[in-house]
Amino acid sequence: MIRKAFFSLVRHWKFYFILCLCAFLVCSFLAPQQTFGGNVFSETASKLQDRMVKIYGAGGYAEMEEYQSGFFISADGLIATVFSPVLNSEEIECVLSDGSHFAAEILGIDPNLEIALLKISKSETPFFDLEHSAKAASGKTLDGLPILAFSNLFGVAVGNEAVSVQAGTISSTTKLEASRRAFDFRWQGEVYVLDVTTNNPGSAGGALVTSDGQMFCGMLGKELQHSRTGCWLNFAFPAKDLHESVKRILSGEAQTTAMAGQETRPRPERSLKLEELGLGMVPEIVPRTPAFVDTVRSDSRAAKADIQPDDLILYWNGRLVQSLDELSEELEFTDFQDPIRLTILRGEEMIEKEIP
Amino acid sequence: MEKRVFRIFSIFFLLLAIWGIAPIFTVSEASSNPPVPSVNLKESADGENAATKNETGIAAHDEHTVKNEEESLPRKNSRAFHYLKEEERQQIDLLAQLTPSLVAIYPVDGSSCGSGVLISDDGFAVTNFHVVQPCGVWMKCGLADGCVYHAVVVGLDPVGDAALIRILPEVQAGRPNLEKSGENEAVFEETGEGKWVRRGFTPAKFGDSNQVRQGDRIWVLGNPFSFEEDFTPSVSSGIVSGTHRYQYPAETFLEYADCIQVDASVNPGNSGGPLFNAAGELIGINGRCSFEKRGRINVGAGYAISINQIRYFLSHLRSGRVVDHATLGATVSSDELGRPVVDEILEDSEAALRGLEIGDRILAFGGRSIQTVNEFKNVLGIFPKGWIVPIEFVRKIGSRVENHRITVRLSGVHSTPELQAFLKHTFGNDMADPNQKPGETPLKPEGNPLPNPPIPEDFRQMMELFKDLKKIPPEIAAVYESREGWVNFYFNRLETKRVWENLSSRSAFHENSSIFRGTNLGGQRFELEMTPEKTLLKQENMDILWENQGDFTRQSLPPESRLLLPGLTIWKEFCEKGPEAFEFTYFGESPLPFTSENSDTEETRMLFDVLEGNVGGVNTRFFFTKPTEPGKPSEIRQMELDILDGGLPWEFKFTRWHQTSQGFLPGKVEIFADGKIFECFQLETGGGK
Repeated sequence: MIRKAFFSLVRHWKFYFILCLCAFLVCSFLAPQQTFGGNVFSETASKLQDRMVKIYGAGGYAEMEEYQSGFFISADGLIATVFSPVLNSEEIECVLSDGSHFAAEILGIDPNLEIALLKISKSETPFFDLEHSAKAASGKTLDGLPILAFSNLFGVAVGNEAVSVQAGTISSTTKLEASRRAFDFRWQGEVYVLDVTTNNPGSAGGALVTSDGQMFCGMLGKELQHSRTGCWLNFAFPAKDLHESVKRILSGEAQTTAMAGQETRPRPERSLKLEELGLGMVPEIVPRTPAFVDTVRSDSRAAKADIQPDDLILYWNGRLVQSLDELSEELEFTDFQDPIRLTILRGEEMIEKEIP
Repeated sequence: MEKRVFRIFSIFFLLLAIWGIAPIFTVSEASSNPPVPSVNLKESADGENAATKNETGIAAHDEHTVKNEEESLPRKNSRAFHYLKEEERQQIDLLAQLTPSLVAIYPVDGSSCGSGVLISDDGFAVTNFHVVQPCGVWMKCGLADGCVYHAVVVGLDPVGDAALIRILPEVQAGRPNLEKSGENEAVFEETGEGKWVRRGFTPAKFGDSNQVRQGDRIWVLGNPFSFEEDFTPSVSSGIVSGTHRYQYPAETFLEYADCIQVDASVNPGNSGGPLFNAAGELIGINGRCSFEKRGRINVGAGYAISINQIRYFLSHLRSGRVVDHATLGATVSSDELGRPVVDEILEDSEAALRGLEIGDRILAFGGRSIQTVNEFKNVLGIFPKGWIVPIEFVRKIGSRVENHRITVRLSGVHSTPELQAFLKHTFGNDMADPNQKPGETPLKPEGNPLPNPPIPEDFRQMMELFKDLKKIPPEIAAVYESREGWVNFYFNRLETKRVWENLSSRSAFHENSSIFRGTNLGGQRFELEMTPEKTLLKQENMDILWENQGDFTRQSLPPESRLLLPGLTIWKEFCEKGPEAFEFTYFGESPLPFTSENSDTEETRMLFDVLEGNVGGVNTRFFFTKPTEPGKPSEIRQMELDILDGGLPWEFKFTRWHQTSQGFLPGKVEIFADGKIFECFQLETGGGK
């Protein structure tokens, strides 16, 4: 019975008509849209805006901007951005794409890549999946890939306004080591060099994505000027390095800030004094003066460890010290007898030292 | 029969289906590769080059070799290759269409350069104020046809950094090269002795900048660094980086409100040039960049004045004056939720008189919904002084929330003397003396309008020798009229004449005596008699007499009818004697105030030509309908009288115009005082005796 009905249907011309019509509809639905010259950039731009964060902190004088860019990397409000003097502030304010304001705390920083992780108390934030991006890009060259760069360059966007979007391509993937003397740059891994003027005041910490918005590629770096030609470099850190760095910070392997969790640490019976090391620091002229070494007494513990005047102390026993204030706090928690691990910045070089 | 038709359709759909599904195989093959193209991508990039060479004809090898290359490409790339070719073909065609509307602008001494764009076939072009500023009254313009033309300044908008110039059709130097501009031979006429005159210009097509979205592809055309010796514009491309951007002014001048941010290269000399969307429509005028420490060249953040703002100002610029931007007379700040709330208001501002109060939260302004203070500043910044906008707001009274909608005429940011002082300071010591050098102190705004590129010193010295050339040539003198406080009064005269000549209702009045009859607001019969000496209103309960003594401000007004009869007298005087008798000037276009009756009609979106002047000491504005088609007469739709002691102007609305044996008459005249209906005449008969 059913079989008979089926055959009669198959024999009927209407069946073929409907079949062809269905085939046409399915095919026209599946057929890829022509993207060239289409509005793919607008779609990407509007789709990804809610992952971007405008970050405000210290600065606002001379040529120091008080703003930079960042983006969510987790659904629970984790924000990746560059580590810069902007974050050197009591209050870090994050403005989301809907205009809402959040106070952020620094979870940690990676001095190598010079990135910082911020956290705001908000759940279900849309985010870029670093792990996925790192995997997608591994072992491939992205050179020639069309990209969009999202950032709040020049602080143009405020409140709920969309951060700026620029289009270009990845020109090359290279190490800047060859010209390290020309660029004041610490990272020794590869970076993406871009063919658009993406790296402007405020754009550091912005996101680099493929122009179709399918893949996150990296984070826009700080402004970098060639010391001799004066040429500004437009570049981004690759997603895989960013991912490694974030993992290190989250695992506690990288350094947490001196501020975090200080109350729970045990205090030694007798704390260390800098004079005992033979170190003299620069005078504290302004609040949050960086921890620069001013003098080193000869034959002292510091001198034995080859600490020199003008060294900037970045880490004290693995903990970030952003100012003389924070250094003196760290001293409180340091036993006068224990050896000390130091990370210092000498010129453009980062050096690990241990004071016995 | 029917069966056959369906079969044919089946085959047709099947073919369509095959055609539709074909790309899936080609593309899915490509997408089965890793999502990140590496080698493939480079190949397609080569393909792109080949296509460019092929299209532009620069290719060293012939068509055949290109074909071979194409064949050697993997099949999966052939479709992408095809797209690129097609895309590039379209781009080249598009740019060829846009090029003839481009203008390169130079001061007569050649000391700087800028760009502009033609917006009408009779030679009007839009550019930046800061491009015209060093030029003074007239300038030299190069078009894509390779010729140099003279241009005269028409109107200036120093607040919005816009200017209108008119290019004159006579070729001053060069020989038309139509191959370059891609125009038809018919645009030129040879006048003998090797002289050429243009019959018309190729204007750009206007787009709608409110439709611009972040990520849209755009084209920047212009004259950066004065590269274009033959005036063929340079092209750069990019995307819209941001929309509705606000760039702060220098004090109160050069404010970029609601502007478009682009990542295409915008450099010195691009100022005043057009921003086109992917369809080749004009969506903005480039004029500003973020520079800070990078030096004054492209940094990937250029700003263009939105074309919708230019559109609002265009008729005002055509009036030949320095136009001003608008202010509400109230300031707005964020409440605790970041919403815009009125925090200060001038008591005598029209907004206050129409009912806006401190604490009111703005919902919509000028037809756009407002959520933040920045949005409010953006929208306010795009309107000219005198524009009439609707404002929607909510007021909280206890637990009750009231919604309000008012319409407000926006007042100017600056006083007229302020604007004139600014003009003298920046545009030249005196507009009336065009032979004087332009202002020595150029404006230094806090933001960064694009600088005009420097010109080599020796060139400048050479130009000094030709100082006499700065004297106004006769063809400029014919289209320039200096008048205190005006940029170029010649164009105001033209516009005033145009509006007046389109008016049909002049014949409604008779020289000696005109009588109108009908019913008034109370439904009673009335008779209105108007003679040169007096205006007499006879009604059933009382008669009112107004004697016309010439100066209306010295006479005491009849208490019961106040400005009613003086107003009707002004209407008659204007219609009889014309704008010149009372020095009426063209103000520009404006919408009309909304009333409860017309708030949702087409009328509220219409624009009217406005003439303003002073009759017998009373500031008067007339609103004229714009002829729907050329040759069709216009009507007076509204007359407004500013009352001397402040407060809202009196409004006389004239509707239902129709032809009678005595002339063209309004069927209905409504008079509003303090925003409320005061009198309404239904005219049945009337006119000359």
